[in-house]
Amino acid sequence: MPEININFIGPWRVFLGTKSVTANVKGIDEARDYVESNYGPVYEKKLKSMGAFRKQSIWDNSNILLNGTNIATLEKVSLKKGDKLDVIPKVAGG
Amino acid sequence: MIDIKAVRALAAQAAMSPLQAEIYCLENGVVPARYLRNIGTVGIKGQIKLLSSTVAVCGVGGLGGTIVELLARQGVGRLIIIDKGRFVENNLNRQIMATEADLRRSKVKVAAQHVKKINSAISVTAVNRTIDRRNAGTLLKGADLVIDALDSFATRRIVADACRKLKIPFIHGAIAGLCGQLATVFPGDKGFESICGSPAGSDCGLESVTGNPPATPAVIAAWQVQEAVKIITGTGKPLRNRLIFIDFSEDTFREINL
Repeated sequence: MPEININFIGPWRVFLGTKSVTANVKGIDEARDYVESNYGPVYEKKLKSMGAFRKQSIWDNSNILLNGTNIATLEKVSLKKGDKLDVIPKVAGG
Repeated sequence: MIDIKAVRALAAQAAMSPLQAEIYCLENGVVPARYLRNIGTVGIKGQIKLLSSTVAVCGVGGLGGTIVELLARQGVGRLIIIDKGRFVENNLNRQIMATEADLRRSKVKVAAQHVKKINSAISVTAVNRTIDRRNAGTLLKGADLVIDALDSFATRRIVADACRKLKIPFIHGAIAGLCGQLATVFPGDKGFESICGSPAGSDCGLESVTGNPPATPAVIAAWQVQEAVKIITGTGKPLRNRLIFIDFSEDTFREINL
């Protein structure tokens, strides 16, 4: 399993209490599972402490960049050692 | 150079609107003093293009208020401003059009009056309605450019779809706490959907948790207006096929290809 770096950007750093983490994952789905299982509870706790009770996914509320490229624009996503995933929050406020 | 009083006198004498009089002056190489500091950047032809343009601003909140103010000062000839909301107290921290005296008043009506105080030559169509799939095409028809100052993914998708059908460029902006983002989408450009997520997903982003402090919308709104001016005047290169994400907490900028 390749070792990759996952970087949380902007408000995620405050909410999840970390800037960056190294993970050993097989592929992008496993990277998602890693983020949700390790940081989902932290986010949920944060949301609850702020009075929001609806559970939300970190991954679904983010644009994910693989080495700077939005994975939504890639036909196939495969990971290799040293890859960098940026988890950037989606924002909608006006 | 010509001052406001003389432009008004010319308009009255020649039975023109003040806007037509300003354009007439510029076409004859006479710059209304109010636009003097614009000319070095956009040129006389650019200022004429701005005065001859219609820009629709969807949402008159934190982003939209600043956008409307800057477009009026820039001298965009016609503004269509759309928002169903009324000012409430929690708008006062960031919505530049909101004052204590205007609480409970229609945002678009307040904004239209404010614009007239800044620049009486330009025309404002104030639409006190919520944008939906049925009315979006009608409300935005006639605009040369649409600026997104909305606060929900669902309405953004509606406006983006309408712009695609009407073949109007669309300037997206959004904020949350100390971060914000913007992108310009021309008809036919792909990838904007990935910004808004799927219809089944959440309708709001992290701003529901971070809130919105006053400086963030001011910066993003100003940048959106800069994009509008570039597109209308043909100056520079618009921000197409990429999303700029700004994190003011660490002063970092990221480009997301769309």
